[in-house]
Amino acid sequence: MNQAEFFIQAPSTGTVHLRRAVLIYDGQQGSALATVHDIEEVDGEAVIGAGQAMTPRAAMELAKALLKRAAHGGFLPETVLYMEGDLIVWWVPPTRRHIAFRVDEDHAEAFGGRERGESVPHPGLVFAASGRVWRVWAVKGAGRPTPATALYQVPYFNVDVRGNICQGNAPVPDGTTVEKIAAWNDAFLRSYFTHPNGPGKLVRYRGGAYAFWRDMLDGRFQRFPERVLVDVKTTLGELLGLKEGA
Amino acid sequence: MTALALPRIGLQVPRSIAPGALLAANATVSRFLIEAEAFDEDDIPVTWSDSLDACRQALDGWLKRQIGALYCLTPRFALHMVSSDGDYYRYYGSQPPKDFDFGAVEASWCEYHEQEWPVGAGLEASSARLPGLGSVILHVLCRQSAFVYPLFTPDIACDVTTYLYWCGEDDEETALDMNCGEDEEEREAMRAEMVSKATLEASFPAWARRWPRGLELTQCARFLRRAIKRLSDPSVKVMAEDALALTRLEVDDSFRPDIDGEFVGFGAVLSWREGDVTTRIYDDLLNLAHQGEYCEHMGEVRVPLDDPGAFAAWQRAMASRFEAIRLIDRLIHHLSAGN
Repeated sequence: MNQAEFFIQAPSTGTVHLRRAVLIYDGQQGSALATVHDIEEVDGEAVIGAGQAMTPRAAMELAKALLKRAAHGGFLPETVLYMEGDLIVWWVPPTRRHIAFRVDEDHAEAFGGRERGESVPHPGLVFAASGRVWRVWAVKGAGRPTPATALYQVPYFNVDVRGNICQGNAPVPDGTTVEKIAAWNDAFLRSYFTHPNGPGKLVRYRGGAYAFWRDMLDGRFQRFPERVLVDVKTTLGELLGLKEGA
Repeated sequence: MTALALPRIGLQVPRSIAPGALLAANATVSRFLIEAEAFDEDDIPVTWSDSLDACRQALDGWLKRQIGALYCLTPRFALHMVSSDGDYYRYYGSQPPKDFDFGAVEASWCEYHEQEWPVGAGLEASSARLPGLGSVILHVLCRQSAFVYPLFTPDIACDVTTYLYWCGEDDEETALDMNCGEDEEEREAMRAEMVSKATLEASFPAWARRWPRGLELTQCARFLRRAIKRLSDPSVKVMAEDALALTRLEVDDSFRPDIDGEFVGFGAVLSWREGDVTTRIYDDLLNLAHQGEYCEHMGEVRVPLDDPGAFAAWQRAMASRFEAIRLIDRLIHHLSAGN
């Protein structure tokens, strides 16, 4: 039979315990040897147990543990699609998340209010960011995009027909490393959307973009209706200048 | 001959070191739980060296007494530290965050060990005894578990399929158009590989694939009361009784997690037959969710540290949910008997 369990994820995780001792032997001409010993408990007292020579790898592990901010390396997440120089292209799978609008007086009545926000379904998104560009497109389906994936205009305000995001006064993250992806996502998706940018069509929807978002915010769609997306007649590969099949 | 003695570490060398701010926070949270009367005095261990760990053991005892032993489910409750601004206390490296303002606690719960439980045979056997009984039991289970201990049921699997594989459409044709164009050979190869509409229709009966709109709990209860009077098979009768008891519990979405992203906090995967397509869909959903924001908690409540009464109120409000967890667990156990 199973039992429920209760845990407290407590601040005591900051506590460190005496587990091992390191004995360091210095020699002449810079030579050195270190041995690592487990701390054992004998008759209620802590004693230094038998040791082993510290290997270079163990020394590096220890150094890493002692560093406040160890240098970061490792695998790339599956959402990263392309990297070149300071350009990073990544994918945000379709999901439900909060979106907020602050529209002008002229559209407030039709939009159901000047300021509105709801958790709504979003299509898959492809972002590109570098020191010079910050662009976004929509993609259909839930699969990881490939160079052949068709791109669509994102249905959001504040993005022009070329996918350029109108930054306005919003601060953007410093740098385009993998670790900053969440910050870039937040900088866009947690900002207020205020107005459509440029003359292009944002969505294929009766009544246009304001009517579409009013209906979205009213909860008309359980899933993002991908049929409304406007084809920008290019693929991810073409956009990145990759040849077909590359 | 004198035996070699291991070198002792002097008593003046501390065996553990805790930052002073954290020790103070531990004491604050311990005092909060005691003021909330979160557990009985008897639940507190006789000896302890860490007050917060003693509180954990006491809360664990309280929880085990509330829920009791379970057949299939393993609920895990956790208490997190949160700042007054709602930031979580996170600590991964060697240095804990400095000047963290411990202002609240957040209790959340999830399933520790979600598993597949094939319930098709049990539901079909129920319907064989009394037409419609399997459908009503499944509906009660789906509906009442939704706010207490959400289950990944066939209707959810079908719904997830549409956006996981079919671009939000009612079948796979659009996805095939996008990936294969007019190439019939390629289309058929992809159709055979993917979860298609035919796969779902072959895996689940029509009545399990859709949420029965308009079927209310009161109607289910009436049906189950009549069923209990007519049923003679004790194994089916006990399921009808548990389902009826489940309909009587008042559970709402008070403690629903307020987190953006895909919800994957399911307590169990209810497949129709062992190894059918349900687990594949569930795994694909998890894979997708883990690439972005996701929520794996079934419920949560945040209580300021200066309001211990609110924690006690949450504990009282959980009573009907604990009863629901027991009934959901028993129903899954009976429905999947033999698996």
